[in-house]
Amino acid sequence: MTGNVLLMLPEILLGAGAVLLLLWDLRLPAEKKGLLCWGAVAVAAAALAATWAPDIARTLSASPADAASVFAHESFAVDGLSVFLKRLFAITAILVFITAKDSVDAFPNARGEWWTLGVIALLGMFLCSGANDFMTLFVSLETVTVAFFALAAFRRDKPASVEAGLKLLVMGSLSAALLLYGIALIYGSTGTVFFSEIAGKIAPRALPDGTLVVPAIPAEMVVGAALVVLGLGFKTSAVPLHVWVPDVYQGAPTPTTAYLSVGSKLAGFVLLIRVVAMFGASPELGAQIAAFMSVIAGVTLLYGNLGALPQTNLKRLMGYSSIAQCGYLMAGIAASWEAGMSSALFYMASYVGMNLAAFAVIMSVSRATGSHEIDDYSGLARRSPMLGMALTLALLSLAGVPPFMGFFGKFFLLGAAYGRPELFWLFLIGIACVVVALYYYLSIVRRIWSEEPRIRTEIRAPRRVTLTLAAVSVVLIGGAILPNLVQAPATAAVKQMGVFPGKPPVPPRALR
Amino acid sequence: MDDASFWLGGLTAVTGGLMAVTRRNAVASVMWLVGAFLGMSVLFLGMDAGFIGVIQVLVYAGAIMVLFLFVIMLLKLTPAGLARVDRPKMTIAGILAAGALTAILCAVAVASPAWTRDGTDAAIRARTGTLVQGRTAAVADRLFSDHLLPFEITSVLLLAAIVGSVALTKRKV
Repeated sequence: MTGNVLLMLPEILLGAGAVLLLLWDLRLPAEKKGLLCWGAVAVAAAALAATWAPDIARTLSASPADAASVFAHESFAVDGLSVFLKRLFAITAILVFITAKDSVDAFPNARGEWWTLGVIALLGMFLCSGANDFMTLFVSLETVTVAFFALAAFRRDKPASVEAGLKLLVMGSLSAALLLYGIALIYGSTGTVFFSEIAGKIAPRALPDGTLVVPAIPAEMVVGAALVVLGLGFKTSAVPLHVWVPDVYQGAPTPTTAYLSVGSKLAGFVLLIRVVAMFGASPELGAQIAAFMSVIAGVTLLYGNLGALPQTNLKRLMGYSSIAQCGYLMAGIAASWEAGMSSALFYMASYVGMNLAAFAVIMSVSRATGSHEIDDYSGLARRSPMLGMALTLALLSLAGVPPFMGFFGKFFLLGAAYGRPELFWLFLIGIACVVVALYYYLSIVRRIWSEEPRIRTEIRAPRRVTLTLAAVSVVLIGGAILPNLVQAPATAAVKQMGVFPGKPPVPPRALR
Repeated sequence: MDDASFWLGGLTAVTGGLMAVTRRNAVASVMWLVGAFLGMSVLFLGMDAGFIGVIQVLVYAGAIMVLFLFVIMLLKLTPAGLARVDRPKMTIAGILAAGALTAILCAVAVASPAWTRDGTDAAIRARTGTLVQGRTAAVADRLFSDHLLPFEITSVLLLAAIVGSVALTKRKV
């Protein structure tokens, strides 16, 4: 029993931490509210440390029951995938909290709740990464979403922020309806909400005499699966539920945008991976869903990259960029043999670093200039070499320029698409989009370095932000020199899941 | 299900429904709808579906009606503000739609096996072996065993909603 409780230790710590932060906020005098940031960081760090608790418990415990990796009647999986993602989520939260401190402290209203809601959102992400049945999936996802409604509308004094919250609410409700309808159809045709049981019902079975029985997949199951993939597309910002992304990214307070662009998106992706792996138990359904996702991936790639071209506002551009990155990840998951899924995990890890580095710079610059226009980033390198350098590195990594981690991520993902001959068109779209993306990312880099700043005053970032940026930059370069440090746990996590949708009938062709 | 509760519930539901669609005051209409829901809840209770009966009151008569009232108040819907529907085409279309819906519902009801089967407790128990459908205990059994984790996560979800709504409304900006 003790072993079982240890499996959920990170979530328990986060829940307790959120409540303690809320109570602490009540006791703190207004001039000391800045301390709440460190409280939130401490809670996230404790949860990060606690992700190692199941490993320790497994080593220490003698009885096999305690070593089980699935908790609470199969509702919650503590496996390689969930632990990998939990660590990413905790690191995301720590980076966001540290770099967002100044912006949040400057909010005119209700600063304390930002941290509490941030920790609750983190708890929701942790629960998402382990969700192993549709009920848990839905309530965990909504926990993240509801927290982000409030975080996006947090600047009540700014109409754009309120509008962002409202848009998130409307689109979130629409996607929740799609998701629930899909879940209902799947429940109707299988009679269960547990992923393991659904996979068992749709997987081909060998009879004792050796013949293989392939269960027929009813049409409502296919429609249900497609609706679930669509509904999760709201979180991952995939077409067609992407319409909120640019407006909300631009309108929400920048700390919220940073958190939303990484945490909320990856929460959608971990659920997508788990659900797609489950559908893949049936080769027929797996192939259909993979084909469906590859179409979504292609459209998302084109929409995000072409939409980013005319943007003049950096936060809005990051919104389109986020849609584009979703396209690459979807392409990898749709290509869907082991390499596709594990490269998706690798890309998620690099995405945390590069996107949060970019947003940390955006927060520091906008605190000095009060603007998010790309024009105001002209000559940033002269106003603050450190911030200019960090933003350059993040953008180059997002563009997929070779010496950085983002390059390997894109290389692996598109390699996965290349490995499936029938997805060659998706591979071509991906390559074309890399070229388009180079243009809009590099034109910002050019402005940072070669244009004269309109105002020459120096921009100073707090030391904790510069230290964080330095650490992230080291990881982005280090992850490119030693990709195996991330690739190995990612591959192990995917292998542990065991089921892959539409496994290619022929072995994938090798990359030259 | 005894006759008294059927007539009580049925008449309340039908009266409430009719009054709800004929009122000119939107708030009065909503209040009559609450009456209709209470009547339906009695019908569910009479059919031994206690859980659905209670949910009917909590969710429909409680939460959803409050939402309706909020919307009416936000839109400032007064009787004078509502244009009278005098166009005969609209009236005919409305009657046709209501008639079609009634026909479909009757067809489905008559076609369903429940129409011809014996609905007494003894007959149901003889067919299915148990008589737990819709009973609160059956729901609680699943909710507090198989689905305990999502049930508990709901409390976190509600906490997020409460903290969020307080943060968005409490102080003057």
